[in-house]
Amino acid sequence: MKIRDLISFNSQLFARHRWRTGVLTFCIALGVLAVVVLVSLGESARRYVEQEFAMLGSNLLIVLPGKKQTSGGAIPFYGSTNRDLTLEDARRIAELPEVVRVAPIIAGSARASRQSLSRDAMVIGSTNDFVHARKLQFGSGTGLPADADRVYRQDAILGARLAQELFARQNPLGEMITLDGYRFRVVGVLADQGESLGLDLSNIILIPVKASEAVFNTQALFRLLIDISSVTDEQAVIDRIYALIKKRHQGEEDITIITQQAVMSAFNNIMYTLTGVVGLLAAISLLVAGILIMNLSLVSVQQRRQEIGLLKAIGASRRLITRLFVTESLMLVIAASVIGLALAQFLISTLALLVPAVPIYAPLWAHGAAFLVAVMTSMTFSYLPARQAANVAPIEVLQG
Amino acid sequence: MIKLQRVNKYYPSGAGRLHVLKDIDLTIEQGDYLSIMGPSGSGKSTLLNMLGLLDTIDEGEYTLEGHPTRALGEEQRAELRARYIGFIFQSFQLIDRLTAFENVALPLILAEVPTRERRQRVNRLLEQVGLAHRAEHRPPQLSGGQLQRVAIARALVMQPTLILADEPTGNLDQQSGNDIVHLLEALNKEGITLIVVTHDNAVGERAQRRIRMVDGVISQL
Repeated sequence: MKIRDLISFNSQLFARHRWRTGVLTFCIALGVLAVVVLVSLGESARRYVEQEFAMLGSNLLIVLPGKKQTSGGAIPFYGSTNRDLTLEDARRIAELPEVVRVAPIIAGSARASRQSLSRDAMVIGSTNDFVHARKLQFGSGTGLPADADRVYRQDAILGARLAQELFARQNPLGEMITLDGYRFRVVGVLADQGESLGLDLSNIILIPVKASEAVFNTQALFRLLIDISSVTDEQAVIDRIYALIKKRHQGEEDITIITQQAVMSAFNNIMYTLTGVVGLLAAISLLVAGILIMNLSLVSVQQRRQEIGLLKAIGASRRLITRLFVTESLMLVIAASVIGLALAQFLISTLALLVPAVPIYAPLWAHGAAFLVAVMTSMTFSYLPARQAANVAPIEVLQG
Repeated sequence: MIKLQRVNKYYPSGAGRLHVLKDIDLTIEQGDYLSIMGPSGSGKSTLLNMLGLLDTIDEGEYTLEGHPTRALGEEQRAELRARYIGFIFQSFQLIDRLTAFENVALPLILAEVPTRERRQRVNRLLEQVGLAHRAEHRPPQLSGGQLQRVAIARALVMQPTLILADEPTGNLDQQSGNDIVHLLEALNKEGITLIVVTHDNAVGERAQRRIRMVDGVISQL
């Protein structure tokens, strides 16, 4: 039987059994849709995180106070401190030749008030190097004073929404606000950049790190961001920083340095695993569809025994009967997959339009994988019915 | 030419086995017109299945057009069936979802005959059985006599040397039955070997050679 004849023979069969064809198409399309949509969402999330990190630039080191003693485990995001990491440490690190910038950070939340209005905000005490490292942009005003790490100055930079909330349409520049009882003068307002790495930039207050020592009554830095020039050997710089801190902290190496790459690849690994697991769960729906194909096909073989007997009586070989049944489910699965893929693409595109902040998209490999899994499932599950059909004896044509 | 030599067939039945065909010896020449009659259970349908290569024989040898068939595998038997034998069934065995044309063309489709030639051969045969105007009708829209004509056209489409008809008039009224018998006889006159299995004496009597089966044994009349 030629391919064209196989296709038209099976098409007539589908036209005759509309209900069966409809149900199978629906199930397979749904399975394919689930695989593509879930995998795409996982992949989009991964890309989103990757993009956020990329905004930081690739030569950033993050120094955390404290050291986890177990080596080889996951990267510690928060360590426990023995000896504080201080501004003096930061200044010494900044003196290393490979280091371009060091942004010391003391962070906490405080209540920002102006007249009767007040609002909780994230307060970040740092220097202009932080502005550089996080690529902050100003809506109006200037950065922090140049001596932010040495002199206690009561200057503050407000996030866009915070400025809006506290000052409405007034110009906040030069106005005074209070942070947990400490008075600050507004010297700048950030442009609205939305969220970055889980930090809502529109609701922060940036103050000189020296001033934050007073506000939070501590000398311990929350962390250091170190920008190193791109030409240097990253590991060598890391080792020198460790050595420097060890010398300054009475021989204790009580800091943890993590690199941009390490954090990013850790995130990537997590996201890949998550996407894989979610995709696998979705593939189970295809497995269910496959079992349904098998059952309905077995029923169909039983119903068509006489027809199969006839085909054999008029010269059809076992191989041809097998091909007939395998082609039947292949055609069904291809048609259903195309429908499922189209629906998935439509859904993802719509979602991307609705949530422009996250780059939602359906990668081509998700389509390919879903299609491949669907085809393989149908091949696997149509094998048994096809073999049963091939086993029908030609004599069954006379059993009617 | 068809030659059966000491053919035996057994069916398993309970603890023992049923001896359905007993030492059948039969030679049928090309162009013969032969009827097989006998009561139910006499083995006449089994004999037809053997002749049509639909079932296997247990002992003896069946030679079809010079091909010994006993040792053949299923695929080779299918090939021989397609090449030499046209079947006509009591209940027509047409596929309901296909048109008359498509039903007749089915053996050609299985044999991968090119579309052009297919169309020519099917149209000529539908003309011959008087159904050219019904080519696009499906079986539920046709009468019993018309259905059997479609089935005859399908049996002829591969240009077989042998037509096996199993109760071809069994489901038809008198008039349609007669028409079908005349059609088959006309084919026989053109040189096709015709073997008819029937209950109906009136149909069976018309054949040149009449075989009676009782309890798995044949006797020529």
